[in-house]
Amino acid sequence: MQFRNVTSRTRRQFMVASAAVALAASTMFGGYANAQNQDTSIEYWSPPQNGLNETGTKALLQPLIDDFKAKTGITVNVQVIDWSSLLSKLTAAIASNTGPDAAGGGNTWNGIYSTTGGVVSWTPEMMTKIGGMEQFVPAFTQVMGYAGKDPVSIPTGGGTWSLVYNKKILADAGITEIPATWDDFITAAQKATNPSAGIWGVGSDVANVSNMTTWEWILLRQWGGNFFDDATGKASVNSDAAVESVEFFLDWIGKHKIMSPQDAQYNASQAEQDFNNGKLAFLFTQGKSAITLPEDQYGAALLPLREKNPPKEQAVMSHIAGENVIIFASSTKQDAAMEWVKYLLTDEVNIRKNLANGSIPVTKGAAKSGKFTNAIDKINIEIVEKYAQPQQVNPDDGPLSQAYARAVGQLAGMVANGQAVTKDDIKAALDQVQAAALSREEMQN
Amino acid sequence: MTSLAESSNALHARVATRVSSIAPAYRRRALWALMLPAVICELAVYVTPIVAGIYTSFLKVNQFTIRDWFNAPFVGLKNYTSVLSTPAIGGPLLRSLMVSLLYVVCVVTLSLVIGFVATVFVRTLKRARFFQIFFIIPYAVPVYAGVLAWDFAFQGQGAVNSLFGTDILWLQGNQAFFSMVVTAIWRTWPFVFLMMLASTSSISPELFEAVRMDGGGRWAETRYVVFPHVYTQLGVLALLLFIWTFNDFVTPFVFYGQVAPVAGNLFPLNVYTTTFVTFAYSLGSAVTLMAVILLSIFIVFPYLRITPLSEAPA
Repeated sequence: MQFRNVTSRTRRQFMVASAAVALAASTMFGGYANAQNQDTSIEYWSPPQNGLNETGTKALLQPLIDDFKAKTGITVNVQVIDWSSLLSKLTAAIASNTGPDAAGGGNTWNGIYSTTGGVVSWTPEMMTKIGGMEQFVPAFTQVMGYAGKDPVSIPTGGGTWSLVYNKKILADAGITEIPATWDDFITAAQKATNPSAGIWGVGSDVANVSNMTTWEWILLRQWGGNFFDDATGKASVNSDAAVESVEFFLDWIGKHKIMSPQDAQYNASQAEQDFNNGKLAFLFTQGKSAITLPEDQYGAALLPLREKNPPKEQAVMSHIAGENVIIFASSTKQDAAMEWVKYLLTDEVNIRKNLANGSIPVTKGAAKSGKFTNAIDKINIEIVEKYAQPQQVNPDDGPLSQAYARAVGQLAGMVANGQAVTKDDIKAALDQVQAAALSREEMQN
Repeated sequence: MTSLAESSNALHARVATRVSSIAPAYRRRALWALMLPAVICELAVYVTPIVAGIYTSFLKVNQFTIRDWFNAPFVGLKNYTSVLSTPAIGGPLLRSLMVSLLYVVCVVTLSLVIGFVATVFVRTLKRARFFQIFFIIPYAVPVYAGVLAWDFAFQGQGAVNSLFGTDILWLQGNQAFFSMVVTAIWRTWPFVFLMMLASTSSISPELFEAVRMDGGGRWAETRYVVFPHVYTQLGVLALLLFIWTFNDFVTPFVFYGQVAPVAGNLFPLNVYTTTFVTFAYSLGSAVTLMAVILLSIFIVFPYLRITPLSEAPA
């Protein structure tokens, strides 16, 4: 979702693109009811863009806001709220009916949005007003809310996980082919690992719960499990698939020694830093924002799978990440907020915003524009088309996935500390997560 | 003779107290009126949130009902019973409560001992004031910054491993507990030291002279003069430190974030990660309230012993 290494070349492209946007817009947006909106202003909460701070994010959004104001007469007042506190602020705003008119947020929060009832559900007529469902890359239509119900949030930008690799380390280790299966991956990573030089095959922010909820879910899916039983909606985190996928991950530290024991206490983005410092051969990460190596020194690839051609439902390489916009039910200016959402979804703006943010576009037109030339962007666009699955929408998704990631993190800490962690230990830890989830579920009823 | 004089003095004092402490009705009303703003503030700032917190623990406030939490369904004691009857929820909380108590005992005891011993040695030095300023630095450093510095020191390639030439993961396994205790003592003992130094400076020099006249050394001074003098303060300090250390959230949170090893998962952090992070607000209130009640036993009774309330007029 971020984009720290804006090269001057991209910046120039940017300016050319914005000029083109302005030109095109003068004809395209003739239909906006300009006059009656002169005095309208909406409040919009935005998460940080491109990993920037508040000032940077505002500066990044300002051209879009000015452009929008010129076309529609609507003023957008932006407040930037950090990802770490955004959800709690949104729920608090919903709770107190003091929310803004619209806000950006994570697309995995749809379950919470739906159950609180504090956000607007998008009827088919409303969807048509902002350009219809057909404009989206199909994957993103799966992350708007509960399947079969009206959407509660509208994607404006997306992202997926991918495998990135350090070209030089791979060349030095004599690895010529990017591994397509996990067996090949482990062999390759072992070849590249050289602890005395401080180089490891792979790294991972094992104690970063919000990262690991996704990463461990991807592994879980590849092993055929899922956080919740599809049929009953009940937690299913102590399945054999879960135990095996966790064991596989822990073996990176313990059995195969391709990941440093230090990674067990990485609770921010230290693994990305290691990669940027040329200390990691491979890294699994989301988007390109955290990668600051020069573009010619790294490559991006599809994630390995358990076998070359696994069952289709196990060929999962990523969740469908993204920034989705919601409109608050308490807003008195929902029409103006919808205009803003519509604006964000025009191909030109979607290209512009996502290039600036380091994310990938959500509209078909923008995805096919050829403007996203970075290796990670290209692979992310491919993964979201073919190998990405939405996470299940479940009100207990947050608590459950976090408890799961905490449990795995604790086990990884034990492995890193030299303790033997058996399959039974893993099962016992996951049993506990499962039991807590079931009792939470029972309390909800 | 003496006893008569004493009792008449006491009687006199008692009468005097009674006379001066009871104001006439009109003055009492005026006093109440003057105190009213303070009473209102007290209610708003302390009592209301506490009552709201207790009330929340009888409701079902979560992400579904947070929007209108005051009207959330009333579930009575269900939050309490589910903690106590579900091992998957109650077990880890209980374990972290035990870890927390052990943490408090280690930190408070060692901080008191170090602070007291340092006082005994520094008190007589010419440059006592220098030490006073020097050792107050850890206490003056913002808590977060201090803990962060230790966090760096305990990393794999951090200062601690470099110093000892070891390769230990200080923030994993049982070492995690040790690392936290060291950090907390570093931050806590200077406060004890400062308090003790201030307190001992008021001891009359004649007492020390008397000890020396009797042939006593530093040990006798400490045993018969310094210790009896600071005994009560030590008790109050122990209580204060007990509360502060028990409520220490920063140390484990900076060290471990949400993934704490069992030996480092202190109670406040565990409550935060298992209830508040996951929107189980009512459950969190119930757990916290139970902990407060339990802690009160450790705090209120010793406090009553240290500071008797018997000064009220008979």
